[in-house]
Amino acid sequence: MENYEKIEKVGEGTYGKVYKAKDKTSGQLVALKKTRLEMDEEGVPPTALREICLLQMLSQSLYVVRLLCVQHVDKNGKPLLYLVFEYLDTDLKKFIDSHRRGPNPRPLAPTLIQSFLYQLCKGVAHCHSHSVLHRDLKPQNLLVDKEKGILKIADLGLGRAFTVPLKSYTHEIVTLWYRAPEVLLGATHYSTGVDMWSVGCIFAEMVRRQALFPGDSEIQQLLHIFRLLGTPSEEQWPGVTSLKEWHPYPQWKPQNLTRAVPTLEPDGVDLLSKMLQYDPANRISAKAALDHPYFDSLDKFLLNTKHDNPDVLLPNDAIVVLE
Amino acid sequence: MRETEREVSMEFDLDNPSSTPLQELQCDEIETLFASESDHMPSKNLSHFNLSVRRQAISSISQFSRNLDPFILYLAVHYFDRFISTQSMPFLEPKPWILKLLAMSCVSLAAKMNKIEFSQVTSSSVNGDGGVIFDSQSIHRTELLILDALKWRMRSVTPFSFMEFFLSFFTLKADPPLAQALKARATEVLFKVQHETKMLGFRPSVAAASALLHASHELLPSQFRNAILSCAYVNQDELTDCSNAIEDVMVDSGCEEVMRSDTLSRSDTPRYVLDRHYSSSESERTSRDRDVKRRKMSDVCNSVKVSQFQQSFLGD
Repeated sequence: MENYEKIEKVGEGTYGKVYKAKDKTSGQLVALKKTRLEMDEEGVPPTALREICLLQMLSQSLYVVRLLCVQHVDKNGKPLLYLVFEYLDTDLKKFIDSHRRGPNPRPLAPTLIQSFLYQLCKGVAHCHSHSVLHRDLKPQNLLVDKEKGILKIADLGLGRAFTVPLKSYTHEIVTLWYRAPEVLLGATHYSTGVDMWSVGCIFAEMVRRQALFPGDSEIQQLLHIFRLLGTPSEEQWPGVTSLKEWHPYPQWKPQNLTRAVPTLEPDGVDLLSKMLQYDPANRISAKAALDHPYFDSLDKFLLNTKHDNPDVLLPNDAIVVLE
Repeated sequence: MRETEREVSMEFDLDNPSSTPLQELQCDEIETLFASESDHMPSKNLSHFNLSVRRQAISSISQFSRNLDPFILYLAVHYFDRFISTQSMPFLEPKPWILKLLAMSCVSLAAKMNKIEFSQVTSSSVNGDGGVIFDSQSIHRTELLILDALKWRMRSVTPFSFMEFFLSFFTLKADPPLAQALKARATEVLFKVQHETKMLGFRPSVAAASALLHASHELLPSQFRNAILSCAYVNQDELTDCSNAIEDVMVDSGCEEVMRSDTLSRSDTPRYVLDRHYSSSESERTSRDRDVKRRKMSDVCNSVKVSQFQQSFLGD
């Protein structure tokens, strides 16, 4: 039964505790996510069933963290669910931090930024092609293999079946820094553009090594955005003034985006500006972003060979009860 | 807001990724679909389990799902087959109520995956002919048992997942009703043959291709077979075996009904009779006599179907 050896708690994700563990048979490292399975009077909730299937399907992409298996255990009659994911050694937030602070502060190599962004767009395009929005893309949710230069999307939304929508498991407020303006302004219908906005913010953060819009409240978040990109107008974004949270905000003029990312090459700035379009309809899609000239110099073949080397072995089925 | 968006994002059809317009279905996704199909198959060799058990279970599943979409029945049987494949202990003489409970839980899971309301309690009390009424706790526990055995992989790659892909081999764009008719007939065929034990070993993609081939033979003469054989994912021998198996089942069941029909007329469609067997090689069968008999029967069936089809759809 005890097939996984718990090594350490690596975090408390939005949906429950996460442990780094080792498959005792294969030696493979895995991330174990523990979550409660809320049974209703009809048994296993259909949403839970369908969302696990969705996760399994999305994790077939090389650019999405792989869900290796799902296990259920009964603990005092309460069903718990363990999701066993492949383990990657760090996340993009820690990775960027290590380049900003520590013994050897240095910028991220431009080719690495290019490669990470490409992999991120690949993963997002995959989710969007299955009509799934991530809705909480941020550097903490992007896992990184430092040695191989691989980036994968993690923490794909388990929606209603598992979540507490606005607070994370630890009641930490969900970060607003990557949130799209239409969400902040209370739009009731939003789409794939919300993820692309986040991708833009993450792109800029890799270049700057600090967040592009570090707001600490919804209003501060909007003002950060407006100060750089200018206060949006009806011409620029039809319908913006009818959104629920729209107020007569101070009128700022747009700044030159290059000033926010001075070390980024012109093609990169162009792509970034397309990701940070106010009108979601004008925002570049993940699929279109992959064809942007910024990626022309990227060695996509090399990238594929990095991913084509799956030293990920399937773990054994049994699972250890962690407490 | 999140709720609304979630509704939208869950619209993607889990069991049928190919319902996405084909042009949007990327090559690598089709590849993934073919690569993953064997993960969703029942064991090829179910020798350790009594096939009459399977028949009983299917009969219960049919009963419990009789007012539901036939896809629910299909999926529930598929879950049952996969479940039974995982059982290492001989599954020889289970108590009838255990089988009913498993059947009920498979239907319940299939309904949940398709967002269909299914009242377990009503169904069991109405249909539990042996007077068996399951409490919801037992059903829930059985659901979890099945989920664990199936490793929570409830998205089943079934023949229906491949239907659009193979249909795209057909140049039917100019004729959507024809494509629809073909798909509908192939679907019917798949429903009909699922319960046959000999179908258990075939890969979903092969079953889909064979069912479409069968339908295309019935409905129109075409080069469909060659087109399908040109598909790199399909193994020719498997396709032949599966087509033969389907034909056996259809001859033994469906076509007999047609033969009793008064509208039967052999003479009106000779060319379809020829087309029907243009591809069967002599070595395919060992038993000649049986083969000949079968040909005659299926030819008759085909003629009738084609002429009926032509009357209703093509106005010929």
